[in-house]
Amino acid sequence: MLLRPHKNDYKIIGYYTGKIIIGVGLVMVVPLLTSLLFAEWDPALDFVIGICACFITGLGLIMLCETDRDLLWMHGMVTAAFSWALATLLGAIPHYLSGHFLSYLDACFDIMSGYTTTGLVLIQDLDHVSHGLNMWRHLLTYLGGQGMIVVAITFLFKGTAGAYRLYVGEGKDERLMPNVIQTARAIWMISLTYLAVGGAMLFVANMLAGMSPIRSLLHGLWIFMGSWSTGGFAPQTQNLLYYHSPLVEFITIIIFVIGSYNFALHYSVWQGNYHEVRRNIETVSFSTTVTITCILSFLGLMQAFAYPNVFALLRRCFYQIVSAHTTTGNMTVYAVQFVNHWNLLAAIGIMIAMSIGGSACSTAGGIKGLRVGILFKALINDIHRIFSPDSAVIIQKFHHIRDVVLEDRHVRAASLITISYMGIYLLGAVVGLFYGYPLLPSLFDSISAGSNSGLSCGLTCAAMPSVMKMVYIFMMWAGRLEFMSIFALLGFIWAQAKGR
Amino acid sequence: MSSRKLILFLITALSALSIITLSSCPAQATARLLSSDTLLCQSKQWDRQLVRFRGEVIGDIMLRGTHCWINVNDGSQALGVYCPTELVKPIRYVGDYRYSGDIVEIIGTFHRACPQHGGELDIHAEALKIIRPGARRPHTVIIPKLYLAMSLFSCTLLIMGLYLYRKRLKPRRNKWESRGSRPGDN
Repeated sequence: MLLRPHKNDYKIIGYYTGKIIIGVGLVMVVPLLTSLLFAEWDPALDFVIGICACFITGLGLIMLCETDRDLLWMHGMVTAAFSWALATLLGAIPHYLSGHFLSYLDACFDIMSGYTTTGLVLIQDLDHVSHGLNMWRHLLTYLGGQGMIVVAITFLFKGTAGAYRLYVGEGKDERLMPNVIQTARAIWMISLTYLAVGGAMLFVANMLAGMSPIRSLLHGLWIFMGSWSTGGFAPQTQNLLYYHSPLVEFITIIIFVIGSYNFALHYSVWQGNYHEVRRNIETVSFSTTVTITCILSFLGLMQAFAYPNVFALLRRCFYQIVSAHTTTGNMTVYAVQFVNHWNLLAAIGIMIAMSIGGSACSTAGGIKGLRVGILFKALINDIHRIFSPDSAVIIQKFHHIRDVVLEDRHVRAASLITISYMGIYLLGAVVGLFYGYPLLPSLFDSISAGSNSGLSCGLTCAAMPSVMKMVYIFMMWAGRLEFMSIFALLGFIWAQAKGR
Repeated sequence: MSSRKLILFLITALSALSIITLSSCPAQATARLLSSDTLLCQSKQWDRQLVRFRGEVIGDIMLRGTHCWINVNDGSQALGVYCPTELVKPIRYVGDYRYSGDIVEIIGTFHRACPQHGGELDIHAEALKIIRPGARRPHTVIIPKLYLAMSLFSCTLLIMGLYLYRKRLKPRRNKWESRGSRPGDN
């Protein structure tokens, strides 16, 4: 029997959503300060309006839904999904007021793309955007990479059991430390350390590329945020092509590969366990699939005579494949080149890489290396079983921080999420085909949205139909939260309508 | 120098000058004005051809020794233009939040995948002409937006005050409830 949610359930969800929304408002102070620093008065007003809207909504929810009760699993999941949706609506206020978007839906699209570290954009005239708005764009993708709930847990939560349920609701389940609040702080420590190092490296690279010191600093910071979070945002329309710098490309590759690794792996390495990088199922899976997809695309590009020499071919192919596989979406080719310049085989390599994605509990999206590794191990196990006597007990293990015996529950969980990802990839492609787009761009951009990659072959633009934008927003949201929270929210709404 | 030799020298010099001028002018004159969309979509057709491309210089002029990179946006897409440093000297404004960049016309060789620059799609400029100088972009504060910000800010302060008041009151309320009475009940 389906039980209709009680008033207290709404109160709990509202109360914790309010806290997360206040967190979003607090984060907006950074772009506000940036705007004030560069005397960008009009964008500063946009952020004041955005901050006030977040505080009014957040405090209003907290006061209306005041409760001492802790979150149960259902509340954690529903709150995670609901708060992401509400944060998107409110976060889009400065975007829309900036005048760089054709509609509020477009602004919401870019915000969801940022939070989910996708990187698809509908922004207009990006080359004339203010420093404040660029700071907001990149900051939200940086925070989205760690997870908005991780931000809120770090600063605004006291209890640990409920906080853990929220944390899981955001598609993360690794505990780096026994306490979830300490785990959230450890994630921040890792990210901020890399921000300092990576930002400094990119600053130097930009200076060497011939940019002014202030622009080098800002662009260094923003490209780091975009790359580390595997978001793929950049402050100029040409994305990474703007810099014409192999050094910038090289540094960003390192940053997004590291960013796509599991935070548990980072923490393990930080504690001196360097062998974990070599042994972990996710790094093994990642390097294997990167090699396979790279070979596929390489062969495709050779067949198409796309580049004049092997060096050029390797440079373009490797960058795009790693960017796709880590679900970053930074590009060193123009979007339409995927269709006009690359051939089908090369594009298929990119699509496979995007659909697999990075590591679980990382900033990356996609099916994840852990699940691909588990499914592969399960397949090997089953083949092994066929050739063994009936009485034989076959034990398959995989290494993820520690040795884990492969059980049916692991395979079931990995299969369910993989099927769900395949489902949304298909959904986006079908919607694209329905609107008359060819198969390749429909599938390419659909996989990109669903896996939170952000590479595009030109289909995603402000002129695309509103329904497609809404479908892509849903795909980015569902893909980032790994479905369970979205299913919980839909179930909650269904229970309200049909429950007793 | 005899007058005959002088005349011969002048004729040779003039002929050489004419050949140089004629060899460059017709090519530049015949270079077709193309948009970024055309260049990107028909990149094979225009590969290694002399093209004319017009747009706004955006972002930075990135000096790299004797040459430099600029990015030129024609309203649809920005393309990278690689050119000798002396060509960019007339550029005064580059497009960003505060300025509209100079509108320039580039004549140069288009590369679908430039062998010199790791397969990048670019234009190697041979000539650059300022079509229209850039200017400061007007950014005025919109008054209704200012009023909206002020009213929302006041509302936020009010709600924050109410929240803090309730928060301050809460321990007292809990204390009264634990005692089972409120002040004034007696």
